Parts: sequence; structure tokens; C-alpha cells
Amino acid sequence: MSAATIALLGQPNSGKSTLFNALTGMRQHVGNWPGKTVEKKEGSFAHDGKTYEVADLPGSYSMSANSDEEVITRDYITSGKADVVCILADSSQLERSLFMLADYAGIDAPCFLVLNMEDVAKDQGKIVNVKALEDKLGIPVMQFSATDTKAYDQFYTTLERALKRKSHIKVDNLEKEYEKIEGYNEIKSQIADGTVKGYTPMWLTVKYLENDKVVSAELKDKIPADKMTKIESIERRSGAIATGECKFKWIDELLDGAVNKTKTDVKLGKLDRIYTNRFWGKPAVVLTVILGLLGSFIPALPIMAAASIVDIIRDAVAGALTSAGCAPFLMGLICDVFIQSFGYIIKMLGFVFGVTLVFGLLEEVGVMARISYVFDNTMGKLGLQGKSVMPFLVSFGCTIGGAAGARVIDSWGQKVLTIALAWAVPCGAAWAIVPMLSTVFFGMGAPVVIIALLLVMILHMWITAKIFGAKLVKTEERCGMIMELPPYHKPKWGALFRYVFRTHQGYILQSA
Amino acid sequence: MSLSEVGENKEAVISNVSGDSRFMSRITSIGLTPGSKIRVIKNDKNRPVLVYSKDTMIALNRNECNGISVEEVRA
Repeated sequence: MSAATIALLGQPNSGKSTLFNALTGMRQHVGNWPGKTVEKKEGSFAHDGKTYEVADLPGSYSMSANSDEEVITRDYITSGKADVVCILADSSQLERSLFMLADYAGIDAPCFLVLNMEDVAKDQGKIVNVKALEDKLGIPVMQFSATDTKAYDQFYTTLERALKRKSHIKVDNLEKEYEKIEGYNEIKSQIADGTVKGYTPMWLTVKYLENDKVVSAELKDKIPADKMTKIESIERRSGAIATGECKFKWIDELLDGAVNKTKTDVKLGKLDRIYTNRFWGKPAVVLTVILGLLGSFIPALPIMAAASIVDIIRDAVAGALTSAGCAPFLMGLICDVFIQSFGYIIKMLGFVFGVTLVFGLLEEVGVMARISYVFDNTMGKLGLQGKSVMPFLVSFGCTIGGAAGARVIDSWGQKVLTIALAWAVPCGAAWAIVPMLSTVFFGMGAPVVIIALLLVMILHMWITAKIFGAKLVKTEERCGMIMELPPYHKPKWGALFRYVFRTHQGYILQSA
Repeated sequence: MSLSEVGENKEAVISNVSGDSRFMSRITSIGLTPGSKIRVIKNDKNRPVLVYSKDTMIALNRNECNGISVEEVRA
């Protein structure tokens, strides 16, 4: 029996996975949310003789209902399964990253705030007065760097405090801002306490003003018709913009006096100047992926070398079977089919392991976001995101490597579509015979044949994208890139190896 | 003017944001609301626009930029 359940909530790049991995280590399991193609990550950890359950809520930008991820997150929080919600924010970008907290304010589940990436903020000269924030917010607040394994005592004590206090965010000042919005008071007066379980009337009113489909439907369902007509007579012109302005105003007030003002000079680093260069950006990305592909052989080689032991076993078994007078057919079955293919499996495993490690590293460090930026326009034509270029390039080496690399794409539909398209890219083995065979059959016409093959490949990808794209990546969910380019991070080797090991447990067990 | 018309290294203030509710909530959550000060870092054809706002580097698809009107700040 666990002592408590904690839910982790944070925008992408808030360090949520780092915290989740550091807390749970190997004690985690990954599945799917029922009926949804959204990954469900849960785990547990022990501290002071007590066991805690941790739920890593799907990555989302706010508490609105624009994606499956966000609906799942909301439902989970109000289900009461979590005793406390841990909201993460990036200390170096508080002004923006506290948005999740502001959007959460008014939800009826106890929470506490973790200001992550203390180290980055300190490097920029930003000092946060945690105590002042705590007083203003009325919930436990702490600051640390989730990558610093020695800093976790503070996390545990804050967690204990949050579990004991079960406090909610003070919303008075935020509501004062909301009250200035036209129609806010009129709508709110029609919503009684407890209309929708887990949310305050303030929160519901704000989401209704934002045209939140789920909340609007729920209100229609729960509120008496006459009151609902009154609500619906009020025009929702300003939408998310007006409420968003309120939230950011509230954040500014919060930070006023709690954070020293610094003027950071914005300049692109050397590497970013290359990646964002109009001419060199694409070649630089292609080069990065090729280097990554070559680099993946470094961790892969030991495993591939180990696979040659299988050959020795095969020869030994073959020798033993021959002397035992085994039928050649049976011998072929045992040696060439069973044992040999086991060797292939290990070799492939080594390669996939290498690809997962290296491209996981590129993601962690922040390079993948740049790749997304450079190829956003091109890949957008196929209904994909910029990151999809990476699996395609890897597929020129090996299709399985490309499919494994598709792991870094965060939307399920785009991931599947990328894999479906990557299959059209001829792999290294095909390239080894394509020039030879085309010369044998077509002589001087070989280059034309090769170019034709590439054109067919593009045509194939285009048709596949047309047929399956609409189903996998819904048009209304196709959203042009609105993405943060995070600063480069130092890789966390421990977490990365654990990630790679976990994703391979399945393969190893299946092939064994 | 639209955000995509702002030149590199120019500063501007967002005056209005328009689009469907999905876009509005997404753009709000990344901190680009009316009144926000922004600085365009990179603005090349066929590439997303790179914008710096609220201590964050943000890449924005060019089509999405059409929904964001700004007023340039004259230095």
C-alpha cells in the first residue's frame, strides 16, 4: 500500500521526465491510457520507509482541451487519484513557464510548485525569492535542479509538506483580473459551486470564455436550461486572449519583487547560427544525422561483435550434428534458421540500441528541436513535423534504425505515418545492389534508372501520405510549428542509459 | 503589420492575435499575448520565424504568424 500518489504536471522542456526518471529510476512502467494512443507513464519510489506512486502526466502546454494529452491530464487531476499535483516551471523562464500554474489555479486538487533548472537561472543571474512566492501563492514552493541528484532531500520535504497541508493556489488576485473581462461576472453567477466535480466556478467560467469544447458541453449538461440560456446570450468575443492576458498579468504581479530583473542579451550561439542559416541549415542537419548514424555504431559494435559468438556456436552445433548423423534438412533448419537468425536478432538489437541511444541524446541535448525548425516547412507538406526528417535519413542506412529513431516524434499519428513513409526509402543493402544491377541491365542508362527509383520513392511517400495522412494526422490537429527552442542542455548519461535500457527490455525478452 | 514582416533584430509589441480557439490557446500558452514585447531573431523565407519573448526562443510557422499582428518599436 502506497503512502501517497503524486502527479507531475509541466510544459514540455520543464524537466518533467528528468524528475520522473530521477525519482523512480527503474521502477516504472509504460503503457497506454485506456482507449487512447497517448503514452501512460507511472512509477514508484520509496523514501523514509514509505512508498509513493508517481504518475507522469502527458506533456501539454496548458489545461485546455485541445488534444488527447490535455484532456487526459485534466481528467486524471480531477479524478482524485493523485493526492497532490506537482507543477513544474523553468526557473530561467518563469514569466512564460508559470503559465501552467496560472491555468491550473482554480482546479480543486492540492498542489505544490517546483521551480526547476535552478542552475541555468543562476548562470543568468536570476535569483528567485522562493519564500515570497510561497506567501503569495499559498502553496509550498521549492527551487532546485532536477539533474542534481544531491538536491532531492529538499524535494522530499516539500512533498511531505504539500501532502500535509493539501493547499490550493490563492486565486483572489487572479480573479480580480478575470472580473475585468466583459461577461465574466454574469457567466460565473450562473454557475453554482460543485457544478462540475473538481473545478471551481471561476475556472469553469474562464474555460467557457476560452471556448473550451469539453467545458462548454459539460456546463450545458449540468446547468438548468434557463441559466444556460443566460450564459449563452453572452458573447465570447475575446476568448483565450483576454483570459491569457489576465494570467500573464497575475504572473507578472507574482514575480514582481520575487525575482530580480536581469537583462539577458539575446544572441544565437555558434551552432545555432549554422543551423538557422538559410543555406547551411539543411546540409548541417543532414550531416548531423549522418554523424549520428555513424556514431550509433560505437555503442552498437560490442553487441554486434558478441553476435559473432553465435556463429561459433552454430559451427560447433553443425559439427556435433554431422557426427551424430543428423539429416541435412534438419541440420539446416537448426543451424541456418534457428541459430543463425538468433545471431541476426542480436546484431539488429545492437544497431537499434545504438540508434536509440544516439538520437535520444540528440533530443536530450536540444539538437532535435533545431532539426524540427530547419525541416518544418518541407515535412509539413507531408503532414509531418520537422523531426520526421531524421528517421527518413537514417532509413537510407537501415529502415529498422529509422523506425527506431521515430521514437522521438511526440505525436502518435505522426510517428506512425513517419514509419509508414520511411519504409519507402531504400536502405543501405538496397543501395549496395541498385547501382550494380542497373548497370548490368541498363548499361549507360543506369543513372537515369537510379534517379527514377528515387522519384518513385518520393511518389510512393506522397501517395502514402495522401492516403493515410488524413486518418493518422487529423487536419484540425495539424498545427503549424509553435515551439520553444530550448537552450542546449548537458546530457544526463545515467538517465539516458536507463531510458535506452528500458526501451530494450521488451526486445530482449521477446527475442529470448 | 504581420509578425512575419518584422525584420531581423527588430523589436515589436504584439497588438492582436486571431485564429481558431486551438491556435489561440496554444499561442497564449507559449506566452505570445497582446502587449508582449518580442524580438525577431531570424526571419528567412521558407523557414519558421525565430522570435525571442519572455526569456524564451520560440520558432513559429510562417502561416501561423499571419494571425499575429504587431507594431514595430522604433529604436
